[in-house]
Amino acid sequence: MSKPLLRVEDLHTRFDTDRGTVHAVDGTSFTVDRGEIVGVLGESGSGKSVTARSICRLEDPGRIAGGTIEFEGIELTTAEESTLRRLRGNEISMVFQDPTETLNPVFPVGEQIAEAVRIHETNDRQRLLDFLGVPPFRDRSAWADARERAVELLGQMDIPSPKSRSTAFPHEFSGGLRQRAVLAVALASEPSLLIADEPTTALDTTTQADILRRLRSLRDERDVGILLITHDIGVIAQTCDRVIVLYGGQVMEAGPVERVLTDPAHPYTRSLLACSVRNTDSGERIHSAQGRPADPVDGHEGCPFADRCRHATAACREGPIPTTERSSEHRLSCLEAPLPATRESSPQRVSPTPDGGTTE
Amino acid sequence: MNGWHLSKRLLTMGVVLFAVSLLTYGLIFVTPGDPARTILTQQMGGQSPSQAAVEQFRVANGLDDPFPVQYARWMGDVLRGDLGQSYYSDQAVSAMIAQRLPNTIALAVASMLVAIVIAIPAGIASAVEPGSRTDYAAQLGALVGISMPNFWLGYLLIIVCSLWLDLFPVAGAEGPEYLVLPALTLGSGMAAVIARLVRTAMLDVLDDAYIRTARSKGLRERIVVYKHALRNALVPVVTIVGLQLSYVLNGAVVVEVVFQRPGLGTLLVDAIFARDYPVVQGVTLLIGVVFVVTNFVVDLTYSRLDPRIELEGEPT
Repeated sequence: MSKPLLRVEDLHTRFDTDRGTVHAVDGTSFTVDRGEIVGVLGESGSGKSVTARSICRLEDPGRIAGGTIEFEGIELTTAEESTLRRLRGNEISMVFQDPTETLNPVFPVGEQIAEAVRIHETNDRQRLLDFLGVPPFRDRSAWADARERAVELLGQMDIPSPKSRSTAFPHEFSGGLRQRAVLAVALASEPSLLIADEPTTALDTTTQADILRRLRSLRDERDVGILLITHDIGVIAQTCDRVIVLYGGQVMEAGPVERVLTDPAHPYTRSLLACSVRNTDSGERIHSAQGRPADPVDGHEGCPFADRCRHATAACREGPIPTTERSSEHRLSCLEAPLPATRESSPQRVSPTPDGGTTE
Repeated sequence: MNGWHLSKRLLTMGVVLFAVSLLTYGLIFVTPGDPARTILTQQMGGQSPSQAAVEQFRVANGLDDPFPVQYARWMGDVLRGDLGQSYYSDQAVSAMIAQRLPNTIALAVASMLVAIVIAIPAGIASAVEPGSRTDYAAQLGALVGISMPNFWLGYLLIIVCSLWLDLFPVAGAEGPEYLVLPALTLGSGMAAVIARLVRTAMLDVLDDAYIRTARSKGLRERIVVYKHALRNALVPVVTIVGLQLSYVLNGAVVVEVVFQRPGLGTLLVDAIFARDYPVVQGVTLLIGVVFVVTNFVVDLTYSRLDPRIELEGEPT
């Protein structure tokens, strides 16, 4: 197999607070290849957004205390801000939740896309006066071209009458149109990796399906690798090739979507699935997970889910939990697996985990 | 903004201006002192005029008519561009204003420029690194700027820059070099207010999600700040800059006196001391009109700055 596009290995991200050190991401490892959509699934507080932030370091991700993030051979955890900025303009794009907030209200949509095109072209030679549009300093033909490209991108996002829409302002767009415009901004730089943090959470179901379909076609047509962060199992099921289930900043279970969702081996994944409306018969009460998410202050001894897990034993709360391989590519961090379940399974334990944990 | 709303706005403006003129004219009547007596005393070289002479002067100048009649006469003249005659010189008030106005406009524009040129970069520098030394320095500067009275700063600048360093002339209004100290005096106080506002507005805006989007595009931080953030932070700033115009005109009164610049401020002060009512009324009315028109322009600027702002009542 060729090298993955993005490789995150044993990532530890921490926040120093008054109450102690919060271990938001606590030894997470995963990869994203070109042309695949990897879902990161977890409740709020599971560390999924901090994981995304640690990769692109747009917002203060906290302190990256250990591990590596490698993107096309470039180590991102120690990269200079200028390197990261260049990557953002060319290789890594991001789409965020709530498209009402993510576009600048005072500039026309087309201008914001054209800007991304110009950034991609000019890169380190971005001049303030050129971008401010001060007449003698603005490269007019380049901006005209960029604006044409913006119209093209809006068209590719199936925005009706893209030419006239490109001069409209974000508040004149509906939520779905806005998120498509946000996608157009993200694609203007022809990225190889797209990080989407809850891109459909603020949208209604039809619009959500439309945006997810677009992500799949990006994967198929442009060979983009996509890291999709969500708390919605339905989104994972519809969209992703592989899924990583995060809890307490640790990977609980990871593998191909159809295997993880149809044959979950980790008690946490099972409880998430049990809470899903789609898996509830009509008339039946929707399950809700017992207890609260683990307090990540000062990290976890043993399995972070142990306090809410009905299979937990004393061993779960003590030592490090080894990662086992249930079947090829289906990884799992649970001492108690295989669980008494409806389905028969025979996982095999494998050697120490990358973070140096020992096998029992 | 469509025609209907524009006309509605203009109508409101007309009502406000009517009120301004009424108050301007009326205030003279409630202030103590009899203009006829004052003027005649002046003309007779300090001698007290006879009662008959005072009466005669009143009739000649229409001062014995009831208030509404006097007001209507004055207003009719004003609408024809005639602000009346000064009691003391034979000049028309409009001519006196026209003579002094360029100096005051120059002072207003120059001090606004000083304020903006200092305030916007200082406010941004503060907001970009809140809690940094730059931030503290800028905030301390703003505090000093706000706390310092104009007349005091004016004299301080005269002492330091004119008398000690001999950089600029002390007083007068002969050339651009005469403008520097008055503009600095008047501009620094405004700069302080505007800088604080820019800081607050920028801090607010820099947290918004679209700033993160701009950064996620790989945009240089400078462009993120000066294009994406500043443009959004400008709406409250423009409001205050508009309101500060009244401060400029008020401040001009003090600053022009300190630097002995012939302008509207000195004209007004002299007229008040001399009870030269036509001049006081003319200048006050002009200041009122400038203020109302400025606010109107500020309102128009909003929708240019932020496309989401529609004028009141407009269907979206």
